[in-house]
Amino acid sequence: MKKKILASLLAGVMAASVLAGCGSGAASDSAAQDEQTSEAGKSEDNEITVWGWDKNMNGYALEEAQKVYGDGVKINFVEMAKDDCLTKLHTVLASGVTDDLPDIVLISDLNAQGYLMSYPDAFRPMEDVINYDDFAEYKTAAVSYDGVTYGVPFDSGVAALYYRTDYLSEIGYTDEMMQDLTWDQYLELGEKLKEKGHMLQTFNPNDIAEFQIMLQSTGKWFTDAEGNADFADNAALKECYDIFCRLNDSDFTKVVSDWTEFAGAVNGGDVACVLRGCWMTSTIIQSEDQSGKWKIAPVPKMSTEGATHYSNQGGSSWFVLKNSKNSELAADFLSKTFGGSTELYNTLLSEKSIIGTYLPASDVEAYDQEFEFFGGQQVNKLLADWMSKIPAVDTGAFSAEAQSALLGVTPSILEGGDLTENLQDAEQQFEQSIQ
Amino acid sequence: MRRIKSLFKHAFLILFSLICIFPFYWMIVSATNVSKDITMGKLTFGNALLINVRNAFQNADILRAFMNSAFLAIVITVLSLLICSIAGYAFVIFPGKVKNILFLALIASMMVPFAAKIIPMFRMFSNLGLLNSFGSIILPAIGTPFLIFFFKQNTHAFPLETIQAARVDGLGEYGIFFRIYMPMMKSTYAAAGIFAFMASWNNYMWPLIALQSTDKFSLPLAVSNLAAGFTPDYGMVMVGIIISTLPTVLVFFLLQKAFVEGMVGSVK
Amino acid sequence: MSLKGKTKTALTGWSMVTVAAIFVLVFSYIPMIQAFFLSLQTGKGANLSFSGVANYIRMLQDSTFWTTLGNTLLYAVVQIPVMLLLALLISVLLNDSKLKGRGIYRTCIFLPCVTSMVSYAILFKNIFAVDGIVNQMLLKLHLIDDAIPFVLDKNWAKVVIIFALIWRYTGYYMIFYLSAMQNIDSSIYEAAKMDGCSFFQSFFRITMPLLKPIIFLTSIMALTNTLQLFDEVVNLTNGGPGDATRTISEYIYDLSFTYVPSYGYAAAVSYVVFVLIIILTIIQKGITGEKE
Repeated sequence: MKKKILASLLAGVMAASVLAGCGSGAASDSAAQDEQTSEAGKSEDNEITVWGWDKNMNGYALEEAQKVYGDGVKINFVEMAKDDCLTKLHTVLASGVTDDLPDIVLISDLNAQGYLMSYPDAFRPMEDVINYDDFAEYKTAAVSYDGVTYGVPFDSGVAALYYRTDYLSEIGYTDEMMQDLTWDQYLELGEKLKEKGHMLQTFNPNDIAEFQIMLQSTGKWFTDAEGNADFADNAALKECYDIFCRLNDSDFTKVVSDWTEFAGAVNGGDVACVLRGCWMTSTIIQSEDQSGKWKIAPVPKMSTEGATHYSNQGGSSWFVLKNSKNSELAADFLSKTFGGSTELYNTLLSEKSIIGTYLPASDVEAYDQEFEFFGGQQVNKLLADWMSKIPAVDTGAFSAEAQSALLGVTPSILEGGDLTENLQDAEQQFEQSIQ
Repeated sequence: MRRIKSLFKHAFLILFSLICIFPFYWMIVSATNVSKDITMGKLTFGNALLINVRNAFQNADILRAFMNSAFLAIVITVLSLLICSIAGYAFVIFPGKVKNILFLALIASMMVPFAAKIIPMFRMFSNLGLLNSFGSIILPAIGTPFLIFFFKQNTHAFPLETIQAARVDGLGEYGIFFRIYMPMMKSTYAAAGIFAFMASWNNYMWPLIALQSTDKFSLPLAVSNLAAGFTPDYGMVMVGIIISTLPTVLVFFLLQKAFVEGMVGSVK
Repeated sequence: MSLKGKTKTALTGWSMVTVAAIFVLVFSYIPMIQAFFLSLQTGKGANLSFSGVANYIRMLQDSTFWTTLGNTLLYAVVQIPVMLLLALLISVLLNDSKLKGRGIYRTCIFLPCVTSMVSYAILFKNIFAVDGIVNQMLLKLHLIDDAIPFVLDKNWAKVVIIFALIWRYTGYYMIFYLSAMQNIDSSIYEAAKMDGCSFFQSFFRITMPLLKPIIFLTSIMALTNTLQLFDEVVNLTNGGPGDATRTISEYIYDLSFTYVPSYGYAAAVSYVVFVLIIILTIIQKGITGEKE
């Protein structure tokens, strides 16, 4: 018995020491490798490190931009999920560590001012290399803070009403009738569609992202120009909630609780309409069997003063970090590509339907492309036209806080609670959270 | 009577097992379906497996990430088991007032939410010059308070007579630990091994922050990138998920035998 | 034993704990202490300034803090006892060496904790959807008249989260019980059987007392994990509807990374969670009667 113990014991210890040996050996190997790669990195001082998300869109755009810029630069795109990318950037900037900083980062527009406010001196102002008159106004506002413009605007999230032509023709609606809808007219479609066995759109009581589209279409936002909550006295926001409650009480919406169910409802043919930023196209065209059955129209118009058919949801911009290794090269790279190449935007548009916000590129040939999936519509041309008419709003730095505070009172509003009181409560919670 | 009892037992276990295994089954089914079917909750096998596998490997350097994760998990599991088990053992066999306080202090450190420690930790590893190296992942994982706690609690069941007998035989204290304790506590090491391996294998937040270049990324980071687009291709995501799940299942299979064997050599 | 021998033994004891202690103290305590100093500062992002206990006072008026804290504690109070009892019960059933197929059962029950959060969230929401399988069954059995929007109702959403947690982690805690049961001498059970003890009698009189240290351990571990709960809620309900299922960890994360960051305030909330876990640990120590 004892022998057996001893034997297994020895075997165990040996195995452990071998493994440990291996471990440290491999570790020092990889450490050696580290040095090599970092030395290699130093010798190539024209390499630009970029943090961003979505290799197939943003990564692709960088590759194309590199081709436009030429051999003077090498791009090292570090891909991360969007939330991860933003989290990591916060940590690095907050720690004040300056080694290993990326040269360029992609930041979503709604988060941009938050970063600019939080880390003064971390980002490189770009006014000296970028002509901001070349960009859509609403976009420039989003990447500026305290009168200084930092970001290079990239893609647009111009909003569209995607609709199923086959379902709407069942209730006698033609394409022309979809062009100038008010929200009341839009909601009336619901009853009629319901009779034919279709739902109007999806509804998620726990997601008020559609408010972004509705508010911006009227030139309003969750916050005012000074960054204070604009809830209780905001007629546009009240109308948003009015529409939201009507959707909630109706029987013509498909209730979903997250993106997967939402995408499932769209791709599965449950709903006739989808209201989203133009990035929604990539999801819709996944259902190849629905080709030719979709079209786009301007978004429904609200009744609040200043309302238009044009709005935006999402989109992001490039930022250069001031203290990074190749920050000057990065700035030059951006100015000559995303800030000055119509050729680049033509490629992005024709290959990936990425709608940029660079105005000189608004007449490139790729806009004339007709899309079979959308019944031959010149989708890009329409979107670009709508984009130029989007009311500019100052989204400020606290959009996430505002939506979070509103979401907190939304269940109570849907249950029939007093709107103004609830919005006042949310205002209080908002003031608390921006301390 | 006994038969009814046994039938009841099996019925309960079968039902519970089915509930447990269903999502795992669905995960495997999903890897063979296209994204659209997955979001609509399709429950049967499809024929998109090969396309999904190809997409997954094209869109992320899964092999590289797998090797990185495997290296990290093995090193961390071996080192943390060794160092934490010896500490847990000593807290019971050589008790003392100061050690008690030290023990409580160690345990307390696992109760601070990690989010609060991220920025100080990032600064610390930057000062050490270890960012973007595996050292930054391995070093904080070696001293795991939970493992110390786990070994301490299990050592309470360890027969002290065995140690005394070994001392009489002239075995040194470290000899007793390595030659008597370690082999006898096989089932404890097995459970702790599963814990340590899983903790390292699934670790997400800290590697995300500490590792900077794509070639150093661990598997969960690579898989998360697969799901990152505006329109995730769930088919390929599921392939990534299965690849990142299988090693844990394998480790469980290998180590679970130790559960049934009991305390080796507990001849009483 | 001679005095010299005693000192030597004491030294050996210390040498055994030193390495682990140094690792924990360096890599856990230094960041912890820095986080505490952070909790005494206010400001957005890197614009921090010292302001004493202002962050701790801010918490008193922060309704989101209290809501998320309440949710988190509710999860802990309901989920932990149910899950640990279930894990213990299953471990006892599976510890019977005469039970056929126990290896298969063991593996099946372990699988949920390795099943990826992403896939399990998609599936869970499909099952509990308004037109999902659970609602269809309940409707067919005439137990309900209208479909229940599980994930979108503020009470049902909590039930779904608790159910998901129990489902996911019972098998995980089972491992620790099973391994500890191997250290119990099986002759004790045989003797008890000879004395005519029933299954439940031996469960409560032998298994529970002998496993006390491990039960204490798992309850602390479950407590720590539940109070730092994040992934499950984010993936299943994203904290909704409203703030109905949002946890304190989610709030800490949002304060640091989703909102314009208030690192100081996030650290202060973390410290409150830390103190809370310590208090609850001391209470649990009283309940399980664990002695030091």
